[in-house]
Formats: sequence, structure tokens, C-alpha cells
Amino acid sequence: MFDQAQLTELSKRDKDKKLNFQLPLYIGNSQGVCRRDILVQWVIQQSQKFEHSIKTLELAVIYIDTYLNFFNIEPEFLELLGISAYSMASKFNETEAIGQIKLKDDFGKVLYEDQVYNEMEVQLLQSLDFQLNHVTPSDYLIAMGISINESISSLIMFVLMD
Amino acid sequence: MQIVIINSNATELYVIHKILYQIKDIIYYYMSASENVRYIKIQKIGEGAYGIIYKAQDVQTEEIVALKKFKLSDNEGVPSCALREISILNQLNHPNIIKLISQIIINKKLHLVMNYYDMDLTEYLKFNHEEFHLKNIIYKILLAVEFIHNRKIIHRDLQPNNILITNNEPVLIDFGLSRVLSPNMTPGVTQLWYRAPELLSNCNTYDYAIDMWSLGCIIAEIALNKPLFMGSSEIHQLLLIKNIINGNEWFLHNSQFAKLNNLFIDLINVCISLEFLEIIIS
Repeated sequence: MFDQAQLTELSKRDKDKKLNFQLPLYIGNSQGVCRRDILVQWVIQQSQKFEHSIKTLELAVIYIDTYLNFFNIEPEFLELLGISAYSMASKFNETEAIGQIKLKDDFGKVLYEDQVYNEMEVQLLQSLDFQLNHVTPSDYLIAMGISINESISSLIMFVLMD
Repeated sequence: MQIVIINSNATELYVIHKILYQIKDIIYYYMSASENVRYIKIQKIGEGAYGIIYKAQDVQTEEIVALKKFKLSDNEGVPSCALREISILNQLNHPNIIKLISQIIINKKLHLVMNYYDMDLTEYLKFNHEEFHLKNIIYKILLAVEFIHNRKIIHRDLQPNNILITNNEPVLIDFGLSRVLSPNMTPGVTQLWYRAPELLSNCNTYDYAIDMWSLGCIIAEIALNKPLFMGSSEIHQLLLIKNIINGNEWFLHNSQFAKLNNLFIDLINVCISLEFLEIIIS
């Protein structure tokens, strides 16, 4: 069902996010692939293990973009940013809390100390100005009465990566 | 002779330097102190699963505020209820909804600073009040709930303890359990006496109606001066609801409601909608 009132309400709440896409992380290398896209792709890949809704993923990508515009990040902490953004989005949006997701390398060794995760979350919160509630593309789709099935969600994932 | 003078100069300079450094340290200490000790805790007001609430005083403005401190658990990081409460409260700007003044991090623990009011609805109802005050409170609560529902947010913990009264005006607090509407949600929310039948029957696809149910219970409580359903367990609560509300004209059989105005009963009846209950019973 196409819900016009809900759509206008959504676009009223949807603020334009001022993101600068000229940062080094957004500019592609010789093959035209940029670090940020690789990170988002990696997060999407990791998120397939959980059966979470597509909105969680969209929120996580918004958090990552906001953080990248706010702080300079060392390349070795990019994965930490990705996983922190994803666990914050799932804490905000999902019914069952999964808590923090801890990363391990191929040999079962922890990649980052526990303390680092907490610091990352606090930094992420500050960069987001403590505002986690954003309007995402899937909200519009639901308001337009489109049921989100597998092909739609893979389409959204494709949009997120670009 | 000259050497001595130089020496004394050097020591003097050294002493001055040392004093300057000490002053600098003191200034830095107080500057950091103004960040960290801006709020002095006066007493503990409440405690819950999420953390502790303190009554505190703002050193700079001498205002009394409420400080909500969140526990940081090892495996969770910043708790989800804190994340939701901050994001939601920052979006709500309404005279009958608590205002989030700021959020600070003291000793790596997240604190929310909010306005402080000392009376909640339960205490308020212990005294006798003018009828138009009570009507005004009901009206303002309804406005506030409409405001949050318009923003696709469900409060999920409406109860008299979460409605504070100041100068006969209500203020909604505690958005720790509230969240943005989504197709799938946890049924274990709201205090038992104000819990809607769909939650009692473990449904996880509910919507704004659960807030309206709690509101109906609260409005009835304001009118009758005692809670409408006082169940001791989920089953008991469902039985109570079923016993009191049977049929469309249930309030005619109940002597408690005889003194109330028809319009008022209509209001309660609209809030406590029977649709879902009928599904369960049949």
C-alpha cells in the first residue's frame, strides 16, 4: 500500500547528511576501487552471518561514512570501525542484542584489545553527535508498500557499496 | 661576586619557573575539573538494570539536575538502551517530554544530564486535586504520546512512575525501553499492570496500540485513584483483564465506573481496545 502521508513525514525527517566524498579514502586507486568501498563490502560480507534486517546494515554504513568525515583513521583500524559501526547499528535496531562483535585473525588471536572496542564506540558516538536514528532507503521502500525480499535487499547492498 | 649574582639569578629564575609550572598545573587541574566535576552528586534517587539515577547539582548554573549513569558491561560496550534513549530524546522537543540537557563521559562512563522533578504521578494522586488539573494532565499526556507516535517511536514503558508532575503539568520520562517502530520487537516490555494483552500473549508484531493500552490504564487510574488491573503474574493479569472487560458495554456492569461521565468512559474504552482480546478468547 502506497502511504503518501508516511512518505512526506519521512522526507521531512530525513536531513541531508553533509558528507565530503573527496577524502583520500573515497578516491579510488588505479583499478578504481577505494578503501571505503572495500570496507563496506567487507562489513556486508560479515553481516551475512547474522540474520539481521537490511536496515541495520544501512545504518552501519551511515555511521561509517560519518566517522570517516569526522576523524582521520589509521588504515589498520578500518576493520575495527566497520565492526563497531555494525554492532552499534544492531544494538540500536535489532530485537535481540548480540553485544560487541570481537574480531579474531585466522589463528584465533584477538586483533584488538577489549578496551579499544569501547573507545571506538565512544568516538563513533561523538562523531555521530549521539544521534543514531536516521532515515534509510528501506524506510521509504516500506512506506511505498514494497515488501523487502532477497532481490531488493541485494539491490540495496549494491547501492550501499557505491 | 658576580658569579654569586648569576647564581642567585639562576636560582630565582628556577624558583619562578617552578612556581609558574605549579600555577599552570593548578589551572589545568581546575579546567579539567570543570569538565569532570561540573555536576556534584547529592543523592541516589533510583536504580535499575540499566544503571543508577542521581540527583545532582550543576556547579556552573547551580541548577538541580538528574544524572543517569549507565553501567558499561564487558561484552556489550555502550548498552543498547542508552544508545536508543539518547538518539530518541535528542529528536524529541516537546514541553511535556523530558529534555536531555547533555550527555557526558565521566571516568569512561556515560552519563545523561536531564531536568530534575521530584514528584511522579503515583505520589501526585495521593493528594486530592481539582478536577480541571487532572483533566489538563490527561490531555497533556495524550498530546505528548501523539507527538512521539507521529515520529514513529513507541515509548513501551508508560506507567505512572514514568510520568512526573511539575506545577500540575505532566512530563514523560524514561525512554530506555522505547524504540523506533520495526516489524519485529521484544514482547517483554512495560510494567505488568500496564502491559497490553498482545504483549501478555507473547506477540512480537505489536504497534502503537500497546502505548494506548497503558494510557487507558493510567487514565482509569487517575479517575478511580487506584490501578485498574493489579495482576501478580502474566496469566493472572490476563484473567483480570478478561473478567473486567467482557462485551462491548463492560463498564455498565462495573459499579466503579458509574460515577464517571460518558465521554470519559468512551475515552478509556477507545484506549483499552478489545479487538486483540477477542482474538485470544476465541
